[in-house]
Amino acid sequence: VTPQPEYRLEELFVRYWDGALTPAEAGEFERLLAADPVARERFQSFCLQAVAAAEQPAVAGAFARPHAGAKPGPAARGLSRRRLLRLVGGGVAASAAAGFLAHRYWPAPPAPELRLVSAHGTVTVRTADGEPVPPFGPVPPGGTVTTQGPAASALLSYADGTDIALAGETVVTVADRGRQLFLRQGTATASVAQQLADAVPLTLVTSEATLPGLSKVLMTLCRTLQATEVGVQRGLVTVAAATGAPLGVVCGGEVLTVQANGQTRKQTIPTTPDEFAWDLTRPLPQGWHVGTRELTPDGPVVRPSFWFDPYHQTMMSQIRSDHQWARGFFRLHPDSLIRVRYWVDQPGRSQLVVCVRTGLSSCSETGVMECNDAFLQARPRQWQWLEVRAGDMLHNIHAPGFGAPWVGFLVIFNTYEVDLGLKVAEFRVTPPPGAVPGAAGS
Amino acid sequence: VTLERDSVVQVLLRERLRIAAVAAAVVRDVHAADDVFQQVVLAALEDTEQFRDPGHVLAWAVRVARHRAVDLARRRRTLFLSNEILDLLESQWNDPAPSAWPDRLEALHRCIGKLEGRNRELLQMKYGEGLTAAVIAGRLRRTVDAVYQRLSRIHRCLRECVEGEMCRLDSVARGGLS
Repeated sequence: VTPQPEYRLEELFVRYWDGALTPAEAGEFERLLAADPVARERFQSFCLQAVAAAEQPAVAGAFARPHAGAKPGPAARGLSRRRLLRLVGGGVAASAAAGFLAHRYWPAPPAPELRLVSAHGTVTVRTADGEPVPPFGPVPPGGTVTTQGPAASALLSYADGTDIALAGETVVTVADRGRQLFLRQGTATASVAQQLADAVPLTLVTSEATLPGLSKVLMTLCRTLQATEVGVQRGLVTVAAATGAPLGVVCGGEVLTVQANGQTRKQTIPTTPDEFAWDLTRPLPQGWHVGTRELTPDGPVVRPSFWFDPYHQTMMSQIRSDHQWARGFFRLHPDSLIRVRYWVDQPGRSQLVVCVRTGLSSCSETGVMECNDAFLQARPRQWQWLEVRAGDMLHNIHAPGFGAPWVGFLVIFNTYEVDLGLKVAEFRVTPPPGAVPGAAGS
Repeated sequence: VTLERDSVVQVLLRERLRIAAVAAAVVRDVHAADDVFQQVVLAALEDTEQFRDPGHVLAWAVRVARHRAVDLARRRRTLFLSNEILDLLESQWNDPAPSAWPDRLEALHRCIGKLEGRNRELLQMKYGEGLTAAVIAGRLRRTVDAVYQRLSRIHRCLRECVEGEMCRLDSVARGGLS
């Protein structure tokens, strides 16, 4: 059947796309495009159709399944960046099947291997099916790396020299042959080597933000409750929403916070102060993790809530601040003084915990500073002060292995399984006399 | 007067499909085209001071996407269109006027959404998964020519659907003005 001339371009286009034109057809195709602006316009519209169609969700089961004995076809490559969010949402089985078919029938390019090269504390690696795998070595596509506890950390590494360091209480799932990392919670610091033009791009994703095509950048990505913080120390990062809508560009020295509602705020990463106080006259910051602010006759206070602590694996009564990795809340020196005005209905086991990082936010090393039994000797049902030197909070197994100043990025009050009736009215950090403000950059 | 970085990125992200399509026309691989787009963004951000206005950004991006795609096609030893044809296409990528593109792309997405499920899946296999017609034919137990014919029919239907939608929008706009 001779196709109608009007539709000849479509016939040639689909063969051109496959590289299946005969020399005669290729000549005909070029002549058509050279001679006719309408043909060129149609060619462009077909290219757009191809790009747009690739973004459309797959139609499950639209075609009858091939006969059981029929050879399944190959998939030419792994998942695309544009499909990651869909797959993370639910198509993991389909992608696994596609990956199997690609592996079985198609000489796919070698997978860029992501390896777990070092770990501190409890670090687990599980496959997409939840099966544990040996912690050191390749992280399987679809696998999840978890650092348990605030002092745990892990270092993931690519052959091109790109390192992804995971701080404590971080969960990362790997997709697209290891080149797309979905940060579910916690903090990841990425030191990304310059990417070759034809390399599979590296993309970091959270529920709120997508950072595509990372190259030659040093940055931290922090996922907290309903917010993502993108801090860039060196290089440039483009940030898009999960919908693909542009959110902006983050340059070195800047931090962009993306809320779950799509609101963004970009700031220069400030020098972390040596002096700090909670301002309870205002609502708790967005992203406050555990605990509630209440207005009492004695003024505004924060009260703990019960929540499931993943480190202790049980429900605990806690206050957990928001999580400010890039900026940090305050710097602690050994003689910094932490002062807390509090109330308990009854004394009991308790601790004040400050999670700290080094003075460089691009370094994922963390530690925990603890004041244990903080309210064990408290006088019941009256306001009182807890005062503790930062240097006296180092007697625990997760104490920072790096020197001061320590940058606090998370504050926790923990009364374990018991609600002691804790109310915190003030939380202050005062620097030691003579501390030089902003002596260490963040 | 130069554009702010954010403005440059917004132009590029707004025109993402168009820029990716420029690359796709050469490399014939939607995912590689998407990678080229990412490279274009990074290249733009390395020197945002060169851009005077959004039209300048787009024209620059189309040019860079073309050349990066050609580089990639050469590395992959993929045959692509002659430079003369690419020159002609490049001069047309800015048409129709940028203001019409959002409508056109919306219409395209609507039209794809209207396709029968089997046709959408065929497009997904061809362009989303990057399968050749021969592989699709094997998967669907059809002939390669049948796959080509159906794909070309789908492209034609989409083109006619988009043109119809644009005409309808145009007439609605004219009716609203009269």
